[in-house]
Amino acid sequence: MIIEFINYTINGALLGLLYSLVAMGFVVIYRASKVFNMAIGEMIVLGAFLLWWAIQSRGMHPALGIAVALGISVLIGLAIERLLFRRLIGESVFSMIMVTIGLLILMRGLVLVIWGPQERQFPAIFPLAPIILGEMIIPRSLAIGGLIAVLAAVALHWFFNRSRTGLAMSAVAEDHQIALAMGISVRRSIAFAWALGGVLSVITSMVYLSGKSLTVLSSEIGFAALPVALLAGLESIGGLLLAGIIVGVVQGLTAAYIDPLIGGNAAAVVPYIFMLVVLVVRPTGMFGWKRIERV
Amino acid sequence: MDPSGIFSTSYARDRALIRTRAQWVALALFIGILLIYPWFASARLVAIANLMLVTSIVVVGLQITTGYAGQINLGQAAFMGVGAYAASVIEVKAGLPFWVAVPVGGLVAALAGWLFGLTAARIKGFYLALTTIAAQFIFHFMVLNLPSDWLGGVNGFSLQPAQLGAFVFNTDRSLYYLFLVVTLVMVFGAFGILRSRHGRAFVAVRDDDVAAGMMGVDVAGAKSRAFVLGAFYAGIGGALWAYQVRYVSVDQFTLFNSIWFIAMMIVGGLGSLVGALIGTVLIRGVQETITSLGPDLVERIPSLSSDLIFASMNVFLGLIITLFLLLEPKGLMHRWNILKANYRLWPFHH
Amino acid sequence: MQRNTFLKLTTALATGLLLNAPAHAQTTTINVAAIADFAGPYASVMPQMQGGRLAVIEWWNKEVGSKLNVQIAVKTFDTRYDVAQTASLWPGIKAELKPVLLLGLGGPDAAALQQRLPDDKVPMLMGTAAYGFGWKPNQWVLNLRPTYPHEAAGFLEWFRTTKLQDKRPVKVAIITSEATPAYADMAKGLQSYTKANPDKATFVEAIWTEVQPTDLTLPVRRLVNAGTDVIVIQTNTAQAVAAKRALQALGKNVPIMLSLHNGVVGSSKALGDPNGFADDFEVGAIADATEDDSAARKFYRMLQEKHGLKSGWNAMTIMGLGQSILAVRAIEATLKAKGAGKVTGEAVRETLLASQFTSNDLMGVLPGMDFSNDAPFPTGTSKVNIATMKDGKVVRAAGDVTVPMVNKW
Repeated sequence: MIIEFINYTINGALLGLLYSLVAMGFVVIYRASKVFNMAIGEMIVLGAFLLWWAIQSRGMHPALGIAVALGISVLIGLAIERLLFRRLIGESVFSMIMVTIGLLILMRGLVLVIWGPQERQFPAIFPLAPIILGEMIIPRSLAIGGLIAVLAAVALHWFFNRSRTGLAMSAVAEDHQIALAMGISVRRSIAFAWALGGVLSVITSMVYLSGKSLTVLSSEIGFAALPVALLAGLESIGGLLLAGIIVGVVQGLTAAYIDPLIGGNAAAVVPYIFMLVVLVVRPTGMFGWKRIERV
Repeated sequence: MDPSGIFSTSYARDRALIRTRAQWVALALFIGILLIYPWFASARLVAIANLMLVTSIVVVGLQITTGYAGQINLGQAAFMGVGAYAASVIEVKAGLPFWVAVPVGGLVAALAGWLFGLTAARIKGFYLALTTIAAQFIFHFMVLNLPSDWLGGVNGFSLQPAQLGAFVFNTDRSLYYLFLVVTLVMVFGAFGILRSRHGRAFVAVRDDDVAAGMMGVDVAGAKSRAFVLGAFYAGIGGALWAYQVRYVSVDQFTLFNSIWFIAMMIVGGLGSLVGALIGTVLIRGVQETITSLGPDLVERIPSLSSDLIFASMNVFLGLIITLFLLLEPKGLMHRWNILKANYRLWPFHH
Repeated sequence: MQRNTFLKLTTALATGLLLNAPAHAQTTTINVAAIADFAGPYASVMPQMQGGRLAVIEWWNKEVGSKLNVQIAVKTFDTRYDVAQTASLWPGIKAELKPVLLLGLGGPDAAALQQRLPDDKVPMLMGTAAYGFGWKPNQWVLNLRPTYPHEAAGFLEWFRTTKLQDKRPVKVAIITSEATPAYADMAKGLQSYTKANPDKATFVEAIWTEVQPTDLTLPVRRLVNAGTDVIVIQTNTAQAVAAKRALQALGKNVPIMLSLHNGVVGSSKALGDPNGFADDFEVGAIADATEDDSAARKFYRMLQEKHGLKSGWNAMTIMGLGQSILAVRAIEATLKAKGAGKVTGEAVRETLLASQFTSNDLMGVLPGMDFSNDAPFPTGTSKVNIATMKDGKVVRAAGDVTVPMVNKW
């Protein structure tokens, strides 16, 4: 019983780290360009399709395929910045959100047109055999993914908070116009953000879908990971790990113990309720920047 | 701005919505055309109009909450669903007629809006957008998991057509008139509210809520009212939808529907009531055109497979919205106002 | 036999008409509307289904219709699997096309049109299995197949009597999602069946997960530890693949029961192993997609050779074939009973309710049709075909298995 409980907790935490990896793509884009990217799920699906195309369709070796997919997604990120967001520098929050919503619809349609709606096999990039510790079973891709999430979070946290370029980008997240006034290239910052977002999407799709099947509906995970971003606070990358683990564990335990009791899927809704409760207490999330509003 | 030669000599005239005789004539003509529309439009066009009318009520509500008061609301479809389900419960369980069910639907949705509006006092911007997304998921979960006797559960609700005395609203034409009357009432109501001090409070809160608070505007109350109103409109729209389709099920009110409402509002113009109406008509119109053109295109260009054509159509729609947002983020109404101003000022530039 | 007499009668009728009719014979066109989804969740399987539908109509027009001077014209409409789109499209379809029959697709069409069709008096035929919330009397939306829990019940009974040694109740679990009411309904119906038949089946648990699950290892382990005999997955391929991966990780081999739209071939392909779902089953109350030379297979081959059918031999195509063959037979019978001028939607529905079509009439695609007024699916004639996979091919495990009584839930 106890072992089962621990198993559920560990797996829930690992799932939560996957969510934080998804949310990281979102937060990175926000942290460097002040854009809320609602299309994060679609970017992950796009990254997944690139991987599929490289490895399954073209038959490349997985390492090469991953490199190719990463390269293309960087290019796509840069293209998105050039075509869409360059014009929106200094515009309001609304405009940003709405453009990413338009991007969401567009990307969904493009994926359908280019690759069609069939279910596809996604390559098993990580070995399929699970990690077995005594009586506990831990899926290997999730475990490796958890490790990747922690490493990425540490690296990005260091970058945005300690390195020169990263700090300059944080200034862009505060206010485009002031950053411009201080000589920081907002354009370059946004381009970098989207390129980085693209890279993270590919990595996330690897962890999420390894060994499973891929279709355009896989983008639902984007919305599932948003509570994590909010719980952590939109500017905090390190906080994502903690938020992810909390949400993942809560969800995992609900799915294991409460769902069978009530005969419904409470696990899907619980992250949102949890997020609501925390937001009411701390309106900018656990570690988000507290904005001082001036008139 | 007014055409030259028009001056207001009283406060009432200054505040008026319709400012010149020409505008009165235009309005009368427009309403006249709306009234006789079913007589010269085909059955499909009347059905499309019905859908547009119902959707426009919901989008007008969204415009009040998001466009005028600046509270981002991504859960409008959930409020619409609450209204639809409330009306269905009244109709199916209590057996009360539609002219009780529809307002009650609106009120119950307004209550839900009030609940989420409570959070708006503390939570701002994008965080608020996400709490409204949470509304979607919570609505979905509650309907499916509460006992079937309460909210229909998996089975949804099947409704009888709306009845007024002996007259049954079960043709597209009769529904059209019903919807038209309700839409006109709701839209005029919205104009009225937005002209009043509440509307001004909304705009103040949107532009800078800290400053508004300092000036004595009841910010928390305004935000709450914005949500309540927006949700009320959504609820009425939802109740009418229930009477049109006559079968409500939780998958008719998803997050994607909310996103489409926002898109309609953006295309028309954020912060403009007329813009909400235009945006709805435009986007629905494009969707319907795509659906109509599709089969003909498939027949005429057999080399392109039908799945490619239909999928491309949806890309096309997404493209329109994105282009719009890039090139004219303030929506069509902004363009229109610029045009009108240029026309009136000609040959001067400003 | 019935067909021969029928053909003789038609020829006689036609000759009689020709002799008595004026110099030129009028070809009546009967309109049928087909609802499709080329951009939504069913877009991947639509071309197959559509191919099946159209080929049958082509065949009927050439072989039967031409002799009766009747042609069936089909017009396809894309509703993107969306209720609002269907609701706004339908009045136009009704007014312009005046169809006598609708070939429906799935949940949204049923939802949008369920209440309208009785007033508009046009019946709709659905190729997918029925759902519990459509189980009402006096329906104009008719399903070729009974509900998903019916099909599952048929399989479970067969499994119990043939695979379990002491014919004890089958321990059954279901993996599904709450994403749509249709998916949630599958679990509800199955649970109700097991409650009503404790001697036949015991319900272990319903696992609620996402439409694209991340990892099912621990939930599936719970099922395995509880001694589950069969896991039912009638939702989609993604859940089937995730469940299979979980079973592989656990090193256990519990048979999975799939439905036709997420069948063994499709799921194996998504898994990446052509034989991945060997020893699992796909179940449906319609012809199975085996390579055996069944009557349905012969029909398919004939359509392929002579009527331009390009879709592969798979469950989706078969569903399209089934829909159309029932449609044309119903129209045929109405023609016979009422004459070409009087074929209306109402008349076609009457025929559907009153007639009993045999498997022969339906070219072996369906096990016969016998509608009644209390349910929108055939209550009398349901039989399921159970297929499994061997060496990457679909093979029949059992045919024409009776479906036990399932009460409304």
